[in-house]
Amino acid sequence: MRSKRERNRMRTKMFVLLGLLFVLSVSTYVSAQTVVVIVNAGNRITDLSNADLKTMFKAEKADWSDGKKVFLTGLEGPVAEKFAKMALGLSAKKMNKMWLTKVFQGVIESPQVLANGAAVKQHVANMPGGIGFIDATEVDVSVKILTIDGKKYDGAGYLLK
Amino acid sequence: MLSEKSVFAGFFLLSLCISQFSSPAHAATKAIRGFADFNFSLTDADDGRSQFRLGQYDTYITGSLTDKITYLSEVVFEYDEGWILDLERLWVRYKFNDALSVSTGKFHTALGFWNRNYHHGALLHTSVDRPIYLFFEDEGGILPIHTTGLLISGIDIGSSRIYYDVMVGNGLGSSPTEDNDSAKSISVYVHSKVIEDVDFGVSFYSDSVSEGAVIDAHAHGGDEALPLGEDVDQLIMSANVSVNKGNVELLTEFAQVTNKGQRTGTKGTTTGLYALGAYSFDDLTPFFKFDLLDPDDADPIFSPGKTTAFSVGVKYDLSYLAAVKVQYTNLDVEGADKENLLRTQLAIGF
Repeated sequence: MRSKRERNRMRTKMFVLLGLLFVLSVSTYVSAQTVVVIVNAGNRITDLSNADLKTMFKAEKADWSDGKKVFLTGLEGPVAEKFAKMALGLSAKKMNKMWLTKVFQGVIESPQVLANGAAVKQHVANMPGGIGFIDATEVDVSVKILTIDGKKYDGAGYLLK
Repeated sequence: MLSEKSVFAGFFLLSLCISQFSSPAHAATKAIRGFADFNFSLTDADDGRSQFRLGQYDTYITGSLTDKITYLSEVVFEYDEGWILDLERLWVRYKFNDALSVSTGKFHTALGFWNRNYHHGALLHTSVDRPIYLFFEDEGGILPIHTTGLLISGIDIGSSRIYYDVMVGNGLGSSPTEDNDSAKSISVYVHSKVIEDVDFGVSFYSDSVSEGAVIDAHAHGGDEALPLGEDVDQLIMSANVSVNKGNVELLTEFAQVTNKGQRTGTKGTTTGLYALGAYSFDDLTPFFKFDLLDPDDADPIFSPGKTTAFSVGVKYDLSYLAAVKVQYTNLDVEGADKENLLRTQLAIGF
């Protein structure tokens, strides 16, 4: 029979192991996520260059090439962190604060920062000129996925993989 | 100086655009947002004391009326022997495209980076306070940081990534509802982002301020607001460089204000400068700021004492809508004892 002390020690080890496994699985999931940039299905744009993607999400441009207004849509959580870091080299907080500065200047319309990918998808689908980013697994036909620098999200060399 | 006919023509053109070329099919949008900050400070000044202080409570409404017409209104609640409501900005804009917009109303004057970017939003800037030379007009600032008039602007033009603002307004001494003379102020701010994550720009401002225009007590270092004794030609030039790349923030700006009395020929040049550097470790951002305000004794408008300030501090971002800052400042105002200040601030946005 194991003493109570040994059982407690064993239990602690199991919790630590489970915790490590959880952290590992979450971080693997996050790093394995592919982020896609989505626009309203009516938008004629099909591709954004890396440079245009930066300009757009740093809120330094307010119009699409056809003159329609850009409506940025943000997202909370790890997908936003990954997108901000890979697309802009910033944290999601810095990206959102940058947007706030541009709203305060009157350069862009006030973006929505939403809680999940489904909400972002719905918002972009309903907003002509809307643009956002979500996990690739959440995409459906209600929105259009843009290629980045001519590369598809499931192909080699895609920026947000 | 710009003729009144030219200004009238510009204003008429804007009205025509708004009435003729707007698309009624667009759904109007509206967002109500704002900033507030809460402060506590300690000082070693002889007449100083520790104190809690409410900062500026700023609310602004922004949105669109049509696909081409946008608007912004901003009010600040301030305490000045009683709560007052100050209309900081109110403008309506017709946008042809990113390269050309025409707006009318009350604006942040097209003078440099800080004035156009941060203004009342303490959450948006890293330091607790504004640079000294960019204090508000009623706090002793040397720049006319608000202008009522007409603005032509454009963003992200060409491969040089040029941004510009050209502004014609009532100028110093006027109120938002009335000009005190027929001379109009002109300001131009041109900046470029041709180098990624770097913004550099230059500004120019010219005005003729009329005799009798009332100058705030802080500006001339006295106790009471004083009327100007003669017409004064005012010329302001400024330049800025900002780097915002990854974890690094570097920002420096310089302004030179030259005032010359038309009758006496008395001329004075006042200089303002600040430099801010910061590096972010995730949510924690240590920073420093250096301030200089160097007035000319001969200046017919400004005569506060020469001021230098060196600050170090740290900002912690709780979210993108809330930050806590702690800042130590060593303040040296000519003619007064040096002062050490410790300030904390909770800045929020909503």
